[in-house]
Amino acid sequence: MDYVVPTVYQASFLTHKLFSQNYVINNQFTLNKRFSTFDNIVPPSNVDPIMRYMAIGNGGHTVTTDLSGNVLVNPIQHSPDNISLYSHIPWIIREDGNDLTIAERAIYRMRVEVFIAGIKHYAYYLRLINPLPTNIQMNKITWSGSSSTTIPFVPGNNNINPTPTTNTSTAGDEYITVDTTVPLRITGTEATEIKDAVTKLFGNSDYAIISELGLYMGIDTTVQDPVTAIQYTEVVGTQPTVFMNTFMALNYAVDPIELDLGVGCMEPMQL
Amino acid sequence: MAVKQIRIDNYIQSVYKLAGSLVIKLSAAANSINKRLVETYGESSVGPNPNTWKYYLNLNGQYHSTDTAIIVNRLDPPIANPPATISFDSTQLALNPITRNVYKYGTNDFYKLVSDYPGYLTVIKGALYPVNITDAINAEDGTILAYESDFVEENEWYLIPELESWIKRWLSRWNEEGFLETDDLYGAAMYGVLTTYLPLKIIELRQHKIGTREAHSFHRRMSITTRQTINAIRGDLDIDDEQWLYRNSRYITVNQGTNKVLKSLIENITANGKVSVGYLYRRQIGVMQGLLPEVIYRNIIQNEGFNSSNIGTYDKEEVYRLEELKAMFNKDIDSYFPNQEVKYTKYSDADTKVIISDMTDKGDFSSHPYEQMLYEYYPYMADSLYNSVIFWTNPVNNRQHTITQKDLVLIYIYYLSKYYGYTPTNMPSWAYTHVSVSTNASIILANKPADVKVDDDINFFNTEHIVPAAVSNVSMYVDMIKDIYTANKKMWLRVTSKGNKIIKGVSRNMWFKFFEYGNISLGTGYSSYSNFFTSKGIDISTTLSKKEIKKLLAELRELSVSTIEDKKLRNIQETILEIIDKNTSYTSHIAKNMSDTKYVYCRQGGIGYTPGTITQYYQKVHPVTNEPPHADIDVTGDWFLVSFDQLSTAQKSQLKDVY
Repeated sequence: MDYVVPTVYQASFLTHKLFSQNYVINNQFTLNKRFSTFDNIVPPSNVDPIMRYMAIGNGGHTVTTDLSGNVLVNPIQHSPDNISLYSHIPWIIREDGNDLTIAERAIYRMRVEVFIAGIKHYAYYLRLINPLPTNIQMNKITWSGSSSTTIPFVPGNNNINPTPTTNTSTAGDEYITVDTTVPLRITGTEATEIKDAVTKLFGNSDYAIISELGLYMGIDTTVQDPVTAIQYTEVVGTQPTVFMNTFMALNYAVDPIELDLGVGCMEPMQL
Repeated sequence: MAVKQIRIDNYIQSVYKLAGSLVIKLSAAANSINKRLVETYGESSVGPNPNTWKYYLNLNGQYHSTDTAIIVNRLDPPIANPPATISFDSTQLALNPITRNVYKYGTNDFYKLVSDYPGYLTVIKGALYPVNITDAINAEDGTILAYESDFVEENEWYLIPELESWIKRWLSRWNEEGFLETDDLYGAAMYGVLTTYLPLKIIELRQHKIGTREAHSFHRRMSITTRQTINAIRGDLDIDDEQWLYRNSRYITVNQGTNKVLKSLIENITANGKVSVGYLYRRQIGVMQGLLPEVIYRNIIQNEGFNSSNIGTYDKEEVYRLEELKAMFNKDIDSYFPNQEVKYTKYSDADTKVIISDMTDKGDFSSHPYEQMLYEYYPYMADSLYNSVIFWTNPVNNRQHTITQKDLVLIYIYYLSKYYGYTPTNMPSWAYTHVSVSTNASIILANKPADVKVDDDINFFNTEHIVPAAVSNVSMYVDMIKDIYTANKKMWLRVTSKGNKIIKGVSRNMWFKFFEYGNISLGTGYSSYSNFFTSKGIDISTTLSKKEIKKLLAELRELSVSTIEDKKLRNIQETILEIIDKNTSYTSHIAKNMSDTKYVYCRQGGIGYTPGTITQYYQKVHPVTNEPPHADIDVTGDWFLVSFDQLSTAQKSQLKDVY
């Protein structure tokens, strides 16, 4: 059981990039296919997808009651080959005719036509992660029990010419991390929009529980609304990079939700 | 001895072992044992209830009150020092499968146990192959109650029932109690004669099945070997492939060289998905860039192509290399053949007569492959833990020496250096890596980074990890390394399955803490190599040729780490291509390539988040426990697979301790 599941699509993309290969996305196996949104556009293979889209869903949990009657929320894990969340919920829904303006649409993606009680609406299932991080750092962490010291890691001469150890030794307590922080913010207004959207779709704002998060990578492209002929930005070749389990019941949320994603990796120093 | 003779002998040996392992119900034996017990221990030793009789208890692997339990060393982990002992009975052996395996029927340890404890054969066999007491009591005389299933092959479903029915018929013909009136040893003599017939009957029953799908692998493989002139005895082929060849050999031989045979061979004996086979096509490319097109070769895979390497196209040099054994002069007439021909042809595709099998063995992608461990642990173990006496014949003067494993390492290193043209003088030391050592898990637990939830992992590593214990022969050493390898693989999989960046990094480090890296000096007590050889009385005066040294090294490896290989994809590919080669037109060339790839997992990228303000939302929905259910949602790292062969030498050496 792991609450954070990196996907095989991310692994494939990273491997392609290590060898400077074009990453070819099969448009039949994307989130666009799931929502039938511009899934016929073949993503350009010479443009790299960027991980900048966030999807939310309420299908990542189940509830059990223990013998004393206490209610427990248990996460449901994703598999690394999944493409969609178990149950997507939109970030915002607007009725046809009262749709978001082009400027308002700028931070939303995956615009999908939905019919609620016979009335046409537009649901937006992805939101941009904003701002994208620019500083990727290397740090050296030395752990000693509960305290740790973090200093910036800069490779030096002894990294260029490493000396092999010959003493008998086991692993030490030093790690080097490569990371950057990606802030995820859901403001009060956004939470209200999610609740409204969920009320429209499911009939009750209690369904506004974010229990699964998906970070997606994709390529922005300009598309044309087939009905209104308005041009707007939409993401194509959308593939997940990581799934996360969490539990946020928006009905009870008053403050903005703040999550800091640390993206990178941590390696123990060998000896 | 001719090779064929060895094969027949092996087969006959296995028949004898099967016959010997049979446990046949005889109520007369129960009665005669009871009679003897009453004579020796009095009436009380035999109760009215057959459940308590010695015969049935022993069949079930239990001791009778008049028996003394056999005590053996427990060979299952954790191995204590001095080793723990167990009673050799069915209950204990069921709990200790490794110990049971060591003593199973036909092994040296089994025969040693039988000769050490005369009169205990029934209980020893009963402990290894326990028979349900009720079943044994209800069974008719002559029923086969148990046998060692290793000696009966999976397609020989008929063998035991037919043998049993034959035994029963024999008994109903010869078990005449009337004869006992005049000849009181008639019973013993009759059963003695019955046992001598058993191996012959097994051979006969198997011979009846020659040519059918129930044929024993000996008959099947010998038939394939003679018809196809390949070494099928090695057992590289699957049983399905073998059965197909067994059935169709004659047709294939008669129609050798036809396309039909080639196609059916590719379809049938590679269809289990293990070996990829393709036809090589020449293709013109780049017509637009220049005046003349360039030529590439493309592998069009003819079957499912499992395990095929990622490379689908080849340039001419690569094709020459692959074809070298079959067409060694192709590269000498390069100016004409075959590129010029294709450049000027008006067809963009042309087929070649090359059948290609380019594969990658992705089987063993653990952090430390089995073969590596086998050699890495050896000098470390030979220093103190691997104690066995070896009789080694020095090829210089053919004198036999009694040496230890440590001496063997020293001789091995000496001759290995000699092989590479260097004569060592100083005694060597050995750098060992990733050797599992005895570790105090509670200290690791106490000193681990606080707030990182890896306690479960540390406990898991602590239960799984196996510390090398003293071993005394090659098979024990190999078994121990297999166990360490399996345990290491499990621990490694646990580490790599982590999605969380910090947890993965820390648990990986905690896993390393159960292993040690270091140097051992092997030549303690000797000032130099010449001093070592003099004190051991080993003559090294004659210089051996490279070929002789190679042979000597192989022999030394056999004495120390054993080189019995498991079924390797390489051998399977070789055998299958050999069959295809033998049966296709002589103008077709078979090219093959196999990389035994080591896999490295590069960790790259990774995502996670700090809980931030989740707790307060959670408290509102969950007022009872006030505890977030998964506060350890945190951060992640992840890994992906790249082929080791794709890396440069420098990269490989950087990643050395990763793979």
